[in-house]
Amino acid sequence: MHRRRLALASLALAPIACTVVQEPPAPPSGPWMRPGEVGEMTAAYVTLANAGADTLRIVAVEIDAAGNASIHRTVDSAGTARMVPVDTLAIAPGDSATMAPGGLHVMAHGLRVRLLPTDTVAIRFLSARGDTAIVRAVVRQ
Amino acid sequence: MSQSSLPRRALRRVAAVALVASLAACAPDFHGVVLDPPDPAPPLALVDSTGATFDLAAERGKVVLVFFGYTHCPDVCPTTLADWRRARAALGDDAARVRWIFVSVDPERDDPRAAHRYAAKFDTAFTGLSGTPAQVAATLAQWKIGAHRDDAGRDTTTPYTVSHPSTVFVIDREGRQRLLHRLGLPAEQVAADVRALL
Repeated sequence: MHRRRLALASLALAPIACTVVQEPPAPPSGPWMRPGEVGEMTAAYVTLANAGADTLRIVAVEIDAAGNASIHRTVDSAGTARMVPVDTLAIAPGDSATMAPGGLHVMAHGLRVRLLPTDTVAIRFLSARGDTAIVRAVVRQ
Repeated sequence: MSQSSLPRRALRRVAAVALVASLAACAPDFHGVVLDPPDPAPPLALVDSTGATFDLAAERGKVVLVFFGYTHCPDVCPTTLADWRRARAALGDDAARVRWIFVSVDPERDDPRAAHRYAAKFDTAFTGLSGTPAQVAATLAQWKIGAHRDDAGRDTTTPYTVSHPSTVFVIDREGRQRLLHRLGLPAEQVAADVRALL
């Protein structure tokens, strides 16, 4: 009887091993762009900061390696994703705009060259005032 | 009920409650959205790169992940397939019991070979499927999902984009829709969910 009682008590107290899910590693940081073949479409992700006193309005994007480039935002509504063009990206003084997969991004289509991991691509952001900011993005998956 | 039996019964009850609590703590704590009750997955009778019609029912015993996208997709599709590749790597040997299916919802531009070439670019274990517009439309209807071209306001120099599901359907070993993985679910969590279903 005591043995049975002890067994029940042991069962009640015995920890049962659970699978431990490890935290994902932090993703690499910095401007980056996905690989792509000639003629394909791909995306770039950068963070733009406005250190000036006025609102920065990005109105155009240029990438020599692509036939065309533009800023888009992925909108995920009720499980459906769609692309929405961003004609003007306004960044308030002291603020920044962070592009990331599944959200704001530079869409580049009609690639003129094959983009392979570790390549570097220059992206020019043109402001409404006529300023140009050049960001160099590293190609990676 | 004798006095001597009370402590033993109480102890049994405590043990039973503790056991249930312990098992509950170890029940799969999914990262995806759990579909309860899980419905049988609809057919996925689309064409693979060899010209054969895919048979989802033949995959019983494996966990199958299904994603509906298109090869000209700049953001959501490459994000999902890149996450899948990392998830597959995280699964190690368990990945042999998992199928990863990319379905193009853009049959006008993606024939089965193009769909497969795109999927395999991320991982050669991935399978791409497509079909005629009628076949794709029928499949979308069976899966009760929508996809359509976004032509409104499009510059003629810009290729059209396509609205499509952002979620991944996770089919369990019995062929039932068990989970939905939202866009951007970390690869480690995708792998953990898949492993819990194996």
